[in-house]
Amino acid sequence: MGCCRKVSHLVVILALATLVGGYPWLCLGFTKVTQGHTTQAEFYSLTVQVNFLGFVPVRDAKIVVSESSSGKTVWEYEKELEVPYEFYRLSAEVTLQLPPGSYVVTVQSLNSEVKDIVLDENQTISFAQVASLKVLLLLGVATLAVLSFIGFVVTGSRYLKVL
Amino acid sequence: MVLLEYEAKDTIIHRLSALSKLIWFGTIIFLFTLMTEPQPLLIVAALIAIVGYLADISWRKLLARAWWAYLGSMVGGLTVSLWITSPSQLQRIPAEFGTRILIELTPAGTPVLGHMAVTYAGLIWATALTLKVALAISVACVLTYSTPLSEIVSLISKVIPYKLSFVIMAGVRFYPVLMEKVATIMDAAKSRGWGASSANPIERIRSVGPVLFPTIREAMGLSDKMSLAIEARAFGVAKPTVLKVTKLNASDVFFIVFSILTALVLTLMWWFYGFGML
Repeated sequence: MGCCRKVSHLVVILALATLVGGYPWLCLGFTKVTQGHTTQAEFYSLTVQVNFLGFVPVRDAKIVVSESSSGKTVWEYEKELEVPYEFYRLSAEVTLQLPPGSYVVTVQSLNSEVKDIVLDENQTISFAQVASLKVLLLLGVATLAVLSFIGFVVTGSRYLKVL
Repeated sequence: MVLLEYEAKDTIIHRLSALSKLIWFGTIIFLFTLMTEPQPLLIVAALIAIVGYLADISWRKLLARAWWAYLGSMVGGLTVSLWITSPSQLQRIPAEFGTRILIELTPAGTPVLGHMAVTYAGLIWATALTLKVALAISVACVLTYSTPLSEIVSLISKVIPYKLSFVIMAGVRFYPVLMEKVATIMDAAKSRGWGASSANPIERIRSVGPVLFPTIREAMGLSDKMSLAIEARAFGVAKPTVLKVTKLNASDVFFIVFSILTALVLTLMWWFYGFGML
């Protein structure tokens, strides 16, 4: 009985600690939501996200934004993309301010992906087909880890059956 | 000290060699030293839970024996986090968010104590520290629950002098034996009408006396008996015979590879994206 009480007290305390620990991220999320994208006069913000397969951030990618009509490069980014600090999301992205119009956004790393956009409001575009060496290395190691775990369970179970 | 003693069971974790489990333990401890944020620790927690489940560990027993350590880690983490107030202590979290003060306890420049405050970064750091300590206890329990201490001693003695490895393992093994003795002493004292239920803390400390002195006597007696036993076995005359030669089977190799690769994935994420950096 005493043990159960201790365990239930511990569970309550752990739950409270989780809530306390989660509070900062809640506040950070709220701050981001309330701030939103700042819109300056005549300019809209364009957020470019580069996540391979939609969930692996690609930081070492080159982003080029050019005008659709003239092909003139209006913005270029060659530094490593930032991964904003959030609790639940890993995303490599950069935000820029552009006047309304039609643009071609090109993201280059090992391969490249091109998207045409018409910027008439604040927009977020995602590039999910661009990969980099780091990303491939990470995915390769993760895949091998999963395969080795499956191998461990299968061979371990086989040994159990034999013995 | 051992919170959960070895139980001989027929599980795939019990069948692994001690070397595989020590490597797994090492990789987890390495991740704990690397991470200062809770997110990757949740992944590590899931891994420990899976291995614990495969080892058929009794979580209820673990909670009942280690709850005080979990609670202590929480209190310790929250206390130390009061000094996380400077932007220089943060790597990834935005400084304006991380150092935002919720409650200020002492202003900057306070002698001895310095600047103490409850900040967002402090709360996150405290959560991470609490998780780290709690998980370190859990992973150690999974190891000691599924691996005989003699196998661990045998492995450790290959790296460090066998006398030192014996001292370390005797210390580790001493705690549960002593706790059993303490429980017996307390039962005996209770049967004579002893109780430590006073609300006054000084009275409570005083009332521990009738249990404390027999406990010290028991501890001395135990160490005496152990020294006699090891002398009788001619300990120290020559290097002990190795009883079990470590052999790795396919399951061991897969488990070692899995442990190292999992640690590598999280380390790469830490390196490339700052995943786990405060």
